[in-house]
Amino acid sequence: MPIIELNGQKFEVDEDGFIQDTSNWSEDIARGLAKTEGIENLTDEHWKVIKYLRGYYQQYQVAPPIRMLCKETGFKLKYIYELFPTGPAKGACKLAGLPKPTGCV
Amino acid sequence: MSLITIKHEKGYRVTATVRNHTFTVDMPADSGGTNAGPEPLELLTAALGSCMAMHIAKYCAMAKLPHEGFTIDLDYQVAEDPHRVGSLTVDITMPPGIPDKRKDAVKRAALHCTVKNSLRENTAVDVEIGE
Repeated sequence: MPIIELNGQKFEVDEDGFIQDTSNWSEDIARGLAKTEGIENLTDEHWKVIKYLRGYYQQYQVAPPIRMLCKETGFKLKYIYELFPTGPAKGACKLAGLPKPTGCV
Repeated sequence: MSLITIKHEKGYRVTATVRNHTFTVDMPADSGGTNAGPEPLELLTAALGSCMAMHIAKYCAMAKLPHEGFTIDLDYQVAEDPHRVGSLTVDITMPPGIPDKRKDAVKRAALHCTVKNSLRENTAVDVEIGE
């Protein structure tokens, strides 16, 4: 399992950089993971998305529907892709410490 | 109707031939592919968006509504048991000038497209329309 070092701490991640133990998540980890996604600075709008995802996941143990994320943050789908270039599932969920979503195979 | 042929190339990468069109389908590098083309679920989502677009264009042309250059943004979410597309999120952006009551009709045109009708009834397709 790959190891990523963020702010002097080491974390196990999968091959795509999703942290394995989501209970290890912290805002510092999100800032560190942001750089791996090419996001230099996390704005209030990034945090709005990250904190909503984090809160929903802690309550329901799954990621919220994308439409719910759009409604709760007030951001259109396209804007969420502007904030997180790899999208709500891969980019925003990674920074929020959620498990990696699965694809076709 | 026409014959569609899929030819395996290497790994997950395949070539699809449809009439006189050929394109590559692959998985992204982070899913074990080489990212030589869109993945099947992206094509499914693009098929839905394209079909919705054609039905919107047909309705708007008939109703004489401004529609040139409208855009549709889509994303999908995977659900489990069985592994499938559980929901599709669709944001339609129309040019200004469509009365509110006609926006509902545009949304209905999108939701009655053939690809949408072909999806399982438990696949959520959530459409929002704006300018």
